[in-house]
Amino acid sequence: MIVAGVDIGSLTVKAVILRDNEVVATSTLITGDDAATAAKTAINEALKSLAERGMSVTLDSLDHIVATGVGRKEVTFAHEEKTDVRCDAVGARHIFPSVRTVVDIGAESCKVIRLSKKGRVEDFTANDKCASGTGMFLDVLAKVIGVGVEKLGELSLKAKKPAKISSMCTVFAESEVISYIHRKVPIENIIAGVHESIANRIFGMMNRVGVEKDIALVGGVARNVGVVKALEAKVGESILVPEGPQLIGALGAALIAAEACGTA
Amino acid sequence: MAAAIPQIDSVVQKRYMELVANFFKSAFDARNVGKKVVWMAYFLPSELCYTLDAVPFYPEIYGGVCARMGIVLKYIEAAESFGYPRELCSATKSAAGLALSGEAPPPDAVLSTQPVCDGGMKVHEFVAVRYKCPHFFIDMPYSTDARAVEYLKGELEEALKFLAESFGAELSEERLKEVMELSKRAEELHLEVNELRRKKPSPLLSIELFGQYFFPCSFLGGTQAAVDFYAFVAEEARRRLREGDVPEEKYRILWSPLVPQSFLSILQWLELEYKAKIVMEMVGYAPKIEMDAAEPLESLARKTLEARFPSLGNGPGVFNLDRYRKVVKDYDIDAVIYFAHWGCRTICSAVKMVKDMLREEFDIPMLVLDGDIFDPRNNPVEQARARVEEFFEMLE
Repeated sequence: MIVAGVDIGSLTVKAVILRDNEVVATSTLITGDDAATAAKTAINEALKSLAERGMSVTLDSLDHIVATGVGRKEVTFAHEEKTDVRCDAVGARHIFPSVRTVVDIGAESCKVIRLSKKGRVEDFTANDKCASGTGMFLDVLAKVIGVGVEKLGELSLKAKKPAKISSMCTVFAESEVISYIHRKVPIENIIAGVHESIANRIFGMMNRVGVEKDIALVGGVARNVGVVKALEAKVGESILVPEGPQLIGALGAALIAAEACGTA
Repeated sequence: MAAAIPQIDSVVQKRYMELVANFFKSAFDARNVGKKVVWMAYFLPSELCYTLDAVPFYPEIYGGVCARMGIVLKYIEAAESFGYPRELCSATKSAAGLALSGEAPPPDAVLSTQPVCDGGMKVHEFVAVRYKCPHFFIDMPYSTDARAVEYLKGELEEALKFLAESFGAELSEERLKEVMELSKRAEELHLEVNELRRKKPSPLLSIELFGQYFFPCSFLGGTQAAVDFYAFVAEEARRRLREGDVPEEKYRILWSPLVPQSFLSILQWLELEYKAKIVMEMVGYAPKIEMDAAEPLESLARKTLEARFPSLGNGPGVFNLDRYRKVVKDYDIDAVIYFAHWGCRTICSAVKMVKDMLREEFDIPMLVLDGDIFDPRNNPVEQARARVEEFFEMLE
């Protein structure tokens, strides 16, 4: 039984292929302006890596496909679609069975999901109307600071005194960062300040739904160790981060697909 | 911007749209037929005007109609251009924008009060200054006890005298009693409609009245039109129940507190596609109010204090929570959708209190939708749909 989950985010599309509940292939691509084509390409990319390992599977021969993410409705070839909340919950719970709070920080969205002891979604909240606290926020600020977004995490760990970023608005925060640069504030302090501002925003959202341990951080921003540390300091708890945190939504979708086939 | 009214095949909705159109037409036509127009703050009793044969005009409610029609932005933007901040409540700004635009029927007098908010109170002062017309402030008590009723009775009496003096009109006790008799009848029929909505499955959809089942008894209170309308709706509801012609119902939803008039597509989608029927709107819920036409001002004070204001935050929060408890039980609610109106401190401040109570006492989930009752710029429809889908997936 081979199934796929595909997560169409605002920046990237992720695909996970499961064979008998084991992850056998994954892929991540830029979404672009055609979500359906991107989803198809992502699944085909993952299937190509399977073929290289001698497993010949085509898109049409997949037993079940579940789409999730902001562009899920565009994926007309999927057998069903599920919301990001459900898929994040299922994916995170699969990796960490004890998890009760899932924080997902993606390119343009952040969500906090509270789960029951049995893993049922009890409550959730999401950012609306504002991209602060998301990957896009980091992207904009990385460009201003002049370092690659993938280097932000490690650099911030060297900070001695994080700068105060008081504005929640990406545009105003950008001008604050620029003024710090002009004042020769060490770059690692500025980055750490940006991470703290993200942690503050996420912590507010976490409190809105109520925090239960264990806590997992998923989504692309979870790869930034500086954000993880800032959030841990704010929450006062250690935070679980899975390998490939950006794939958790797609993994959840694939697990739901497997369940639909009676194999999960 | 295209017209935004989501119309469905409903005799109730058609009749409601006629009622609302005629109500506002009477204000626009008032001068031509020698009648006075009174600009009224949200939920001040229309009976004051009808007693003196004047026509009430509720600018914030008219703003809602403009929002439904997709034309409210020009009034909101007029207010913002004048200096009102973007973050301020869009209902307040639409009232200010209407006054600034000169496109609304000009007031001969203004009645204001402090609930629902001080922004609403100030905008009516602004209207009175702008139009250089007499203005009376009705001081609304913060509770509903006997002392508060007595106090408000005095305030309403003063307001009536003020209007009569301003218009050079004669105040007739007989006419006041007639108006209150009609007001009482409309309240009774409104309660009857609310009772019919309790049925499982409920015979009426919220979208049929754009979430405004309170409209006739609030703004046409004291008229035969309100009485006839509720009688019609009640009869249609009974017919549907009798003939099994009831809209499908998968979930029973309480919508709280106000229904966004610029965002009705979400209601239509919820009720028609998702079969999540809004069986009550918090602002439309009212307890049975003791009204006696022989004691007209006392009855009007009681109605004013008890009917709509508490659901919008006038009075202690505990009182508001008791209403939630009652509605959740009486209407067998599965879930609550709380529309946290951008710019409204009262509504947004109550979110946590209501959500925690629902979870702790009833284990009922509440979805908080952040949005704007009138301003389409603050309502990303796709995001709201995503939140609602996630919420219902959680319920399954």
